[in-house]
Amino acid sequence: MQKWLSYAILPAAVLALWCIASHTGRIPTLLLPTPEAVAGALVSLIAGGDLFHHIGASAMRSLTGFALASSLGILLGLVNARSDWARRTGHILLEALRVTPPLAVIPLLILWLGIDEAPKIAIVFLSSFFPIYMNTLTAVRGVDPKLEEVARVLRFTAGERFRLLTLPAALPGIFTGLRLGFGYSWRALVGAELIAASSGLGFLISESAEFAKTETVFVGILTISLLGVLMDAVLLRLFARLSAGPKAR
Amino acid sequence: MFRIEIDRLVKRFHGESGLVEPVKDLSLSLEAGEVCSVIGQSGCGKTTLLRLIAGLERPDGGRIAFVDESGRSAEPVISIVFQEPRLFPWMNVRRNIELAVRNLPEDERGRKVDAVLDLVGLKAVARSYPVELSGGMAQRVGLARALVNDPDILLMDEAFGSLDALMRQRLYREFVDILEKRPMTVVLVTHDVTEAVQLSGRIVLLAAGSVGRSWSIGLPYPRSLGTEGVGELAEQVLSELFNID
Repeated sequence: MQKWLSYAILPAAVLALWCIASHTGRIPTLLLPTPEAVAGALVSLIAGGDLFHHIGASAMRSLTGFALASSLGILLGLVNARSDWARRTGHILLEALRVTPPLAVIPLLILWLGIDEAPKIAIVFLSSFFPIYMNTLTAVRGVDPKLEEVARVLRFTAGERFRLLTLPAALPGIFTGLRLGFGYSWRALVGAELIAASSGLGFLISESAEFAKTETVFVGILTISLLGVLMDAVLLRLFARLSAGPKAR
Repeated sequence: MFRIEIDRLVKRFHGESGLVEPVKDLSLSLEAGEVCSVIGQSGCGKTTLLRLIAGLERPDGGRIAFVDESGRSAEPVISIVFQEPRLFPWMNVRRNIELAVRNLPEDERGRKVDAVLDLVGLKAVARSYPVELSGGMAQRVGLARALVNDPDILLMDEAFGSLDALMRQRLYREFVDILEKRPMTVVLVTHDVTEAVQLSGRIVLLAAGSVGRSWSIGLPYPRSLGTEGVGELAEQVLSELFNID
């Protein structure tokens, strides 16, 4: 009970401050709607089925981009960690891409990929790829060389070395990359859904802002936040199950 | 059983302070089934020699040959016990030991692991993870992993160093028993002269990368600190060790 309380205490304090600030009338409701108004907008979006429609559209983009980024990020991280030649070859291009904000390439993505789903998924991909790639690379390169020697003495084949040593040793780092990558993919949604979208939580937020429906903007933001926290908790549980060790038993 | 022939072995490293040559023109012949302790001051090349025999380092000169009973060069099964246990932290004790016999059929693998767990007194913690073990227990798992595949050559790098005195004496006895039942060629790198005298048939003193002196020990097994001759020989070796500079 106490553990649960420690998680809830800060959000409850923020909610209380929000209540106080929005009910004093000092801040216009256009800028800060009351929690009740936001709850009302939430209920009406749920009742009309709009919220689930937007969540579904965003989740599809986010999960597709994240799945692509995870597959390629882990694969490239594993290859580049083991091959100096591959790492040197791709280094400058990857670094250039890493420091370029994904939103800066939106015009190019529209030109190249059109205005359908592809550029939105590409934005999500670009946002989540690098945390996954970098963490995988670092984790695999950080495998204890003393354990690598044990693998040599025990005559591990390349497959055994990967399965019994590299992968389990790098798993915590890869998981951290996946958590960060998922967070970034979710955060990139609003930017991605600015591109000629007609659905999605990012679209809901930007469209509501244009019509000055601040309470709906709040619903969109809170939904993204809550789903992000929820998914992070799901990922954490999943990783804990997949990790071997005394805590996992 | 295998004989080890080391001929004019050289190993160099390029360190920050320039070229270092821990093993310099080292020649040594180890008989099949011999237990040879290698002693010497820090940096004299003991561990490098062990790593060269294990194939973890490539020599820059000379050669190491493994000769079987028929006199032919062959590839022996080599196990090594490192200074630290080097266990895979995501595997329990049993799985860590099983790694060395992973290619055997399941029932044979199980039997071998059970036997070696019994030998090192770790049956009760077979399902524990390395993080849950004391330093001494973890080192015994490392020893069990090295013994479980019946090696032809066993290399030990300060393997008993982290054990408490009681466990060390117990394992010395067990170790001598194992070698009686299943002889193998053993190279034991140690700082502990009394350990070398209790366990080995020969002590080789390394100085500046090559063999300085060696002692053959004819005392009967099992030996302990109280065995006649052990203390005297240990003193003699120790004084020789002090004289090297």
